Amino acid sequence: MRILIAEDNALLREGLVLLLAGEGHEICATVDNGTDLLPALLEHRPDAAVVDVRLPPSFRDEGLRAVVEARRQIPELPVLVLSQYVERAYAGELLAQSASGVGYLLKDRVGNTEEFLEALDRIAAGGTAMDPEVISQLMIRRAGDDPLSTLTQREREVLALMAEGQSNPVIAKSLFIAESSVNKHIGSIFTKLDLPTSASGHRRVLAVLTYLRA
Amino acid sequence: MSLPLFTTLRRMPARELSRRLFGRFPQAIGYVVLCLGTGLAGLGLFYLLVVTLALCLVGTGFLLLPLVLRLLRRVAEFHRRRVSRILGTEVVTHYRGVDGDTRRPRLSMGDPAVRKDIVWLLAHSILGTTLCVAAISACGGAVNWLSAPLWWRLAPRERDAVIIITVDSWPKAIGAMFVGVVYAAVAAGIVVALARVHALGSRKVLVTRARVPLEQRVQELSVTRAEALDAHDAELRRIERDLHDGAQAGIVAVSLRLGMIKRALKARPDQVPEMVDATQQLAQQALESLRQLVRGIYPPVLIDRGLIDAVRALTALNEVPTSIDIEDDAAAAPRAPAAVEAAAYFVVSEALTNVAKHSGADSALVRLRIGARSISIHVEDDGRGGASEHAGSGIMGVRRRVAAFDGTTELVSPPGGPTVLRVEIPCGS
Repeated sequence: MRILIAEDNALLREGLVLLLAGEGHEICATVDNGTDLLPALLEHRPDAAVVDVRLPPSFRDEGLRAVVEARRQIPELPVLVLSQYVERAYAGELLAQSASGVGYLLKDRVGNTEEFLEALDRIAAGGTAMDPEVISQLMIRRAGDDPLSTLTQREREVLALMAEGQSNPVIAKSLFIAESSVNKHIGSIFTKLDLPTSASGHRRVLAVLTYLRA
Repeated sequence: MSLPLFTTLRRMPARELSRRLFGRFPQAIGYVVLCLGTGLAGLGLFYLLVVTLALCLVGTGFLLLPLVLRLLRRVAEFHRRRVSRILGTEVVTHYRGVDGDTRRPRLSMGDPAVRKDIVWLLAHSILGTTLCVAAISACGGAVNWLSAPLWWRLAPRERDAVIIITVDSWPKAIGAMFVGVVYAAVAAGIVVALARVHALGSRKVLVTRARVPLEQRVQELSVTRAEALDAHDAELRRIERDLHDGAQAGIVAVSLRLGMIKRALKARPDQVPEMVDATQQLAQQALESLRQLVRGIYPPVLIDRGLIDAVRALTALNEVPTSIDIEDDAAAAPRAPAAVEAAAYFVVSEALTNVAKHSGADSALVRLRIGARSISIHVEDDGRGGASEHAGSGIMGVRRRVAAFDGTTELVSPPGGPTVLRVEIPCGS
């Protein structure tokens, strides 16, 4: 697929280009600052964009703002946002539009090549890829009489993986349980949290994330 | 060693050159002549003061005393303004005020500021006047020699030995004039030096530290404290940014490469050794950037030797022959905050690294001026110029670090050179 890379650090940019080109992707553009990012996204309309949150000139959240604006003009443009730190506000802004084709990962994850490439494929296909750190922050936030506290330990684990955007088979594999058990847990979670049980696929992720951010 | 001096002179704008050659002389001679006047007048005033104090013993002096003290204050204030101008730093004193209001001085013999003014008056009248006479007579001698061709014909026969040699012919007169040029240069130097000595001595005596009301002091302190915190904040952000751009990004890049190697082990193992080499290089770069950052936070050499010697050591170690010109005007002022000194050191260090790495220069010059209010740095090389802020030249780091202290950074580097970096960092006091 055609990928646009926005990263100001030359080492990382080159690394990403090497990695993705080596996997047979076409790098349609690389950008090293926030100012050029939005025009580049709109011009190239990549199949997926890998974007650093913090870019020159102001080194704040230029990358994120360009992505949000680009996705306003081209809805559901697949974007994988990389960040040095987990910032709930950033995740919130990204998800505010739509959870479809959105990823938010810690930069460190690029070292786990398989997962990184898999997350990229997932968002390119319209899925979601949320960093486990983000999800755990979203889950910790709630306390006391919160319905989340009625979930069992296992149900919380399933909820977290679901929120990351993982599919049922992947959830089953990473928790070493059968897929049928996953389905059972999900049903139980949706009942306890009073979510629409009919939702499936990305709508399900969306429901979970919306719930967590509420 | 003469090459850098020559290139410096050659590149100096005409105005700067003339300021260097004559710049301080007119101001200095003006100051000296004025001091001679106030010095002589001061003798009279001192006499008046002694008489008044003596009259106080019999009572009548108390009527006259406030008047004399007011006059003394006027003379002292006038002189403080002259000293401020010649030293380029503000010289103020603090008299005790009526009801603590320092804007309405009470002027009594009990006020330490008044007593110091009296000490100054005596010293200025005796020592100061002597200095001024010496300075002016040096100038007179120079004029005498210089003007020999104008007057030797007119001088009466029995007085033709006015100066050391007997001027009785044109060649001797012209020769005397040339000697006069040298004499004038020396005299100008003497005048400038004496004026400075006089001004520095005057400042020492003329300034009395304020006894500021506590409330005002607390207010001042909270302002400077807030500013210090701001600077600290900016400094922390700079370190965070440097870590983010340097070591952290480097380690992520290493991790990324390792991930690729893991995949390559299965798919194309023949490429792995090369990839491992590249990755190790990345790891070393990350380490190096971390080491530099740690050293830059507070270089140990600053604690051991102080800024001036630390900078001297930097220039001595530089690969490109580097001359150094240090002006320390802050000898009396407290040392600049450690963070400011560290920043100044960092600037020189970065600039010299750039000169060695990128400029291709044959020589460089570092000028460091430490003032009471700011530290200014000027680094110049005769290399190929064209230095940019985005070519990994470290100038961006310099700008960032200097900005954290509200300082200014200016880089002038036309293609073909020379490259000049000017930085000024306020000392924050």
